[in-house]
Amino acid sequence: MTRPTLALLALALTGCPEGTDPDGGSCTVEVAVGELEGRSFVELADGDPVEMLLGFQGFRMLRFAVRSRGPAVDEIEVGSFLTIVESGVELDQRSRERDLAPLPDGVLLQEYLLFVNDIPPAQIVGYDADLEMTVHAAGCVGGARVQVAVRDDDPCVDHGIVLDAATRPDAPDGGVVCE
Amino acid sequence: MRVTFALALLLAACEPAPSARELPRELTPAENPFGPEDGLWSPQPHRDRPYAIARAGDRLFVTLRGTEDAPGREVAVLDARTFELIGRVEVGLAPTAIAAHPDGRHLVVLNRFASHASVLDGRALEVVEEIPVPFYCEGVAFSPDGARALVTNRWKDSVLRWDVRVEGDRLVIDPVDVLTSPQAEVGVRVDADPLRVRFLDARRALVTSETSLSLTLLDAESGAILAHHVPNGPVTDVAVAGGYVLALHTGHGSGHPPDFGFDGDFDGAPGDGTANVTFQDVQNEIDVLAPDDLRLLHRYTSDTICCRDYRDVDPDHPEAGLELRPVDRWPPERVAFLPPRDTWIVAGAMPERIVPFARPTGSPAVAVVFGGSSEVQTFDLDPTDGSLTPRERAGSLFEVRFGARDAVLLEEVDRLAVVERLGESVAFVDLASGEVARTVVGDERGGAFPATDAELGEAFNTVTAPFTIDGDQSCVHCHREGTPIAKPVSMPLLEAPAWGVRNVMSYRGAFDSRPWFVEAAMEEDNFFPVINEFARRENFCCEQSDVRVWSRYPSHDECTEEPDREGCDHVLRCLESPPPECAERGYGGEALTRERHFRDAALRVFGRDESFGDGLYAERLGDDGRIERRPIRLGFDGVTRALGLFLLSRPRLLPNPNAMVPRAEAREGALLFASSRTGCASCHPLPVAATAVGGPPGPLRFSYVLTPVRGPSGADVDRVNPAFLGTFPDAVQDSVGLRVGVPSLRGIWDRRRFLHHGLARSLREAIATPHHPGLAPGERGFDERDGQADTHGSTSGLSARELDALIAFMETL
Repeated sequence: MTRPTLALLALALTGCPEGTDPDGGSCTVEVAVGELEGRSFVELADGDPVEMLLGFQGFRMLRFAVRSRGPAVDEIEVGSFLTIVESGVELDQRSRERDLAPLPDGVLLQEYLLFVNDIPPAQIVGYDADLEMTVHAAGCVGGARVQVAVRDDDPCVDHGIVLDAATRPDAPDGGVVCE
Repeated sequence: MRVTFALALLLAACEPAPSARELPRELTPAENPFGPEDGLWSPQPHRDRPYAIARAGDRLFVTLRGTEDAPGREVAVLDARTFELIGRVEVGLAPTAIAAHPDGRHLVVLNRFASHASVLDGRALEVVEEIPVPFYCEGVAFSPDGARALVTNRWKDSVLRWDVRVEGDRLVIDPVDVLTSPQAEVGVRVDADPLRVRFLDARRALVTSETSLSLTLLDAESGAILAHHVPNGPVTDVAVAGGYVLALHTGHGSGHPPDFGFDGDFDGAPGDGTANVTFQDVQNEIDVLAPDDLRLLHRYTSDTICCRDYRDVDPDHPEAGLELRPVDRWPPERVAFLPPRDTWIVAGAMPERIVPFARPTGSPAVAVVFGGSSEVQTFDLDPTDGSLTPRERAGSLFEVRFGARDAVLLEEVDRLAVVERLGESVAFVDLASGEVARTVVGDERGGAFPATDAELGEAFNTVTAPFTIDGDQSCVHCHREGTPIAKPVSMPLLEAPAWGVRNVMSYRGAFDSRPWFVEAAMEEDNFFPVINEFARRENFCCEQSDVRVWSRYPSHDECTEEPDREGCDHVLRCLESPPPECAERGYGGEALTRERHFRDAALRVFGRDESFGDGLYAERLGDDGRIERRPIRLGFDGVTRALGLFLLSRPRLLPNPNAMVPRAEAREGALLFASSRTGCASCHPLPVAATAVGGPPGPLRFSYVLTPVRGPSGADVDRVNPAFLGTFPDAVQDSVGLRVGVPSLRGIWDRRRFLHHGLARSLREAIATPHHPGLAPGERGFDERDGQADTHGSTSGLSARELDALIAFMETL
């Protein structure tokens, strides 16, 4: 698949067959994984690069945006499952997300951080990774799948964080001071 | 609902206050709000949670306290010779403490949720009398001659005295200190949350307080306070051996540097931590004290105070700290703050119980039970000077199981009977060989502990040490039984950690008070910065985060472009080809990655390195569109999530005795709380006075309504660092300062420090304006920001009596 390996698979087209959701969800959401460019959601396509971010205490994370077409809810539960294609190394995360922007046909999670706590950087940076994402929203469920290329072009602490070395000589915990 | 609650509260407060004899017989346990409607919920097995142990004659008696929301009401009885379970005796609700009278027949059981203590005939195995007491009596001891008993009370922060005598087959108890009304004080006032009590001799007794970080010596007759020892760490137990007083605690570290920064112990000197900072300075210590004045004679600390963690101050390499990143850097002169090397002898984590005994030669010794590492270590005591020498060193300590807490000596067989609170069992440890026999005294019908994902988290909460890099720390070092200690600490998230402080969060009511922490930016699925401090990534070589190793090698990018470059094999294939420095560096973990370290520890501690899958699971998209669930690995992420699930699943809210017996003035306080005059309810709305409950549009956050803690330049040192903001985007900070989530006030009656910085020492200090007439001399009112009063609700216009009323109401929440 070349365009978003949206992997709602049959879900988006045919609806969720009964029993699809282990919790018994009987309706579906259409999920898309992307990034925010400005204020616009841009869906990721297979092979698109994703930048590894460096944060507090040396935590590393991948930042995504998630679009959920379905119920207009205040909270969604997001599950992620990442597999490094070459090595088979896996990572998973489940979280409740509430900072949602309304869409005409659903909600947009503008900032979803997938923390890479259990994979050393050298085992993920530079590799392709399959990302499966599931979204539970008010009893509805859906999923998407995309393959991304994990990059680390900018070794600095998370974008948008301005360090003033003149007034604060200490780098944020675990971070790297960038000139 | 809110109106109904408030009305009910007001009506209840209108009723005449009951006398002590009219106290309700039992408190009603708090309901557990975590239920099947939550996706993480799963049924949990019933547990008896054995807690305290005592011996009378040839029998052992173990209180089965249960949990806060499902308390027990029985005592298990075992044969002290065969270790077999004989049966159970019903006592009161939540039996917590037990002590045997020197007559060898009778025992007293304190039932923390009941207004009576149970007198148990250990031969007949029946309760023969009930003694009226205030709720929350939690520690008891008889004097050596059996004529006096002392009882600690958490509700009244006092010690109650009983006269005791034996008349024929009866044990007659005459309380000296009697509660005359629910609102009255009773007994000898001591530091908050008194717990253990031990007699030093016939006349004097020692009382510990974990949350107040102190040990008190008092006259058991007059109640006079004779001496005080404040190690600035939770004092978990005390014993008298060889003529010395030995106290267990977890060190005075607060995460601040020792030589500059915040003066948390208020000794007037900058800095109050230890040589190591952050979580590294959480230690496990034994103080040897002079019996007459509790003067410190010796202090022994953790054997791994140096140098397992990559940041540890190392006396053999005083320049090593200069190689670290700025945030971890330490100057060579910091080594002067390390205690003497010959005092690094305590090998276990989280000392819970110390028991004197005699070696076969007759020489004095003590056994220390460690709950955080599930171990027992013995020490020989030199009677000439009180010094200790460990008999076992790290790696050879005697192993016990989950939640080791209380213990009693079985002299005739040279064994220590250790209560394994979470393990539902009692271990009988041979003090010479370490061989262990074990008897299950609790409830394993739902499977041996841990049997669910929430129980995995509960196990980690207590037995944390095997997951830490130096084996020293546990969650319960600071969250004692879910109640935070009265010690503000520094946190890595602070912009100026040397000067900033944070109150330790309460573990209670975690389910419906998310998001957690002052910043209201973390929940059960992402609060890993706390766990991170236990085992930083830099300690695991192939995480490639240790600058002392990896600064010598090309970067990953460089190696990707030029794989044949020297050293790139280590960079690109570290697991298969780690650089030699990994083995040579002398610190850090054996595992090459942190995930491996956690999974190895999980296998050792839990017997598994994957979740059960009942609450913690990953979802996979099947090719047919179906979502499949499977257990998760118990690496760093998985263990963190297990702990989060445990915190959700156990509310641990303590039933509030003030709500059961509301004081009359609480009526006026309730009106004041709800009125626009104070504005309390606008941010802390009833019924639970909590708006931090997760849900749209998220928690209320305010720019600081209080003067922030300021550093020497006047800077706001409550601010969090930019990296934290970038990593936890729910946190909000602007030019005014950090925005703080509104905390729940539930259970505030049982807290000892208040406000985000934990500097308010009482509820009165937290809500009063500076110089308010309701403040006692020496108290400080915090309801102001930069000199402007009433920024945290309007209390300046309240009279002293009204302030009392407001506090009386808040203490019913």
